[in-house]
Amino acid sequence: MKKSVFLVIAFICSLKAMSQQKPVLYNFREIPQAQLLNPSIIPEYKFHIGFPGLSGVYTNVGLKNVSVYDVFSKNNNDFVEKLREIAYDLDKNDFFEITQQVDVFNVGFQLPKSKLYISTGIYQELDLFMYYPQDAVQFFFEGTSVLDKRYNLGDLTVKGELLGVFHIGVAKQLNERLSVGGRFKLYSSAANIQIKNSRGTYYTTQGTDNYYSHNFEDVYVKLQTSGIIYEDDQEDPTTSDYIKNTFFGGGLGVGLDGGFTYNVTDQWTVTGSFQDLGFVNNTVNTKSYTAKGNFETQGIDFQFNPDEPLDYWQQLEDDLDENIPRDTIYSSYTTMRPLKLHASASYRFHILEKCECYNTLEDIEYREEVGGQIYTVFRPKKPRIALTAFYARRLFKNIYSKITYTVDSYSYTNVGVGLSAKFGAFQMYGIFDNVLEIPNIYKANQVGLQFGMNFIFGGK
Amino acid sequence: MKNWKLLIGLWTLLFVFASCTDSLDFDQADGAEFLTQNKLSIVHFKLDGIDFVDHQDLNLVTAKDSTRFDVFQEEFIQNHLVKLDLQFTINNKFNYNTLVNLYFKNQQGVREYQVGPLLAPAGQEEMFIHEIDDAGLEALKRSNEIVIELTSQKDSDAFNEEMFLDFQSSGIFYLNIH
Repeated sequence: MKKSVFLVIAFICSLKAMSQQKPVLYNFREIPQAQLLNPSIIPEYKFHIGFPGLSGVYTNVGLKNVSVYDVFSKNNNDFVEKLREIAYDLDKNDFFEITQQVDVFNVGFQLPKSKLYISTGIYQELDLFMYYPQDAVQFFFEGTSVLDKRYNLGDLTVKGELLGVFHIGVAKQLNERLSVGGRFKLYSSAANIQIKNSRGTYYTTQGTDNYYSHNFEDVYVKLQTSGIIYEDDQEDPTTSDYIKNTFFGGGLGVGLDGGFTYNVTDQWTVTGSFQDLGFVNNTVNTKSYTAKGNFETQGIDFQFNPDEPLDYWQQLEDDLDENIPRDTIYSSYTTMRPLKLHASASYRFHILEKCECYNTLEDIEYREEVGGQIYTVFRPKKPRIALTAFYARRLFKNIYSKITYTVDSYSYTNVGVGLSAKFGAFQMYGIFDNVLEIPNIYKANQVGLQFGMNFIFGGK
Repeated sequence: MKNWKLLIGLWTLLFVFASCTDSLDFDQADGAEFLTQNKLSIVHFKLDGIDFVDHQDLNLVTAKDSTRFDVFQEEFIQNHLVKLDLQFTINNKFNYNTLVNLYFKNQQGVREYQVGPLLAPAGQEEMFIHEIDDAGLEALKRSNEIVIELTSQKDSDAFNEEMFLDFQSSGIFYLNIH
């Protein structure tokens, strides 16, 4: 039961998380990993190779309306009461989202005498998305004590996956103003969980034949899992099983990224890209459960017939099974990857110097850039949109910075900062999202962190 | 060298900010207890007088029925049920006083717990509340069967189709989830 208490606390403590939007990294051209967000970027260097396992480490966990501090601060308030208040303040449109990504390797190079940049690599990704199950949490607190209150089972929406991604992409400069790019991805799913399109209600009402009538109405719940639930006679998966499945021993899938960069004028640039237009066929130890139907009971109805004694309990169980049949399915299933869209418009200014870069417009380098970005990710109920304004500046030679201010449905104070520095061939970068919350991280609603190290050769 | 100093300065600044955290007590969650109430219907029945016309000659009329009742064997209930209030309503439209006994038996058929006898006076509707905790609850958690037994002290009036006895029961299960 400790697990269920932990889950309730986790639901409540991790709400309205920010998504895996990476406003600072998008179009941060000096960082090779920016190509993963827009494959049309043609970098101003000829070759890069990521530090194995450390070229891109990204994690993002967010909280909104409630922070770790709100729940766990030392004060005289009763812990359960604090949780209850928070639980009732939230609603079914709040969500929890955690994303973690690690570049295992990442390498790219410019084809000699061409304006083609090819990049490839493997990264591991964990993506978990869950709407706040408002009615389930309230049911946890209330039990069946509130008559006629309808608990919506449709609140249950969960999508989570652990997978490895092999990718290979190419960026091509079509002409002086336009570059396009695409990236092919091969997914290997180690674990997956999905509950979607649930519906139905549960309620307790005054009975006619007995005190209470317990009702399940128009119930439909489907839980799909892969690589998570094992039979009792099977050994539990080990870490090495997950690692093996992440790197192409798991359920396979394919996907595409695409993008463009268009220099409207010398100083104005527009970009656009999509990520993860693809699917995964989940095949690792799949186990899915469905329940569908209607059921009503007012308890056990004694018949007092000694000639035909009945096993009423068995009858009740049979009635439940008949009216809400529950199946276990072992076949594979397909899930779509969460599609993401990016777009930006920016204006460069403050001419620094002429450089000998092979692909900048008229070989001019601007020191500063301002612009706006829009990001959308398609989630089970509806897409989520974030708007970002940014300012980027070259601070010193080989040190670049970018500051973002992001507004989305839940936050108006998200300021992100990124810094990229190159020392010889060694390049490192660090990105903090929501830096205003850093002074007291436990009061933060959302914290994002990304860092990485690469070796860069040729050009800037 | 200048670059290094700048970088180190920036990182130091970030960590200084990050270190300014308020004190928290994560141990609060260890002692957290969630108390919930669950109202559940248990057994109900309606006995019609017409069904007892074969017993007109008897002074004591009895009826008995039982069922397997696995609720108390569930691990969740075993671990978290801390109190149980049973509630009964008996509408006795027989013209005889009736005693109702409830027995909770274990798998060996041994009575672990008894509720009653509840006296349902002739012609009246009575409500009973029976609170169970501690030792009673432990006994209940060993049971997996409910038996209900009725005894009517019949007088000269004969059973007829107007007569009935309506029985309803429910429980408020108090759960302490920790």
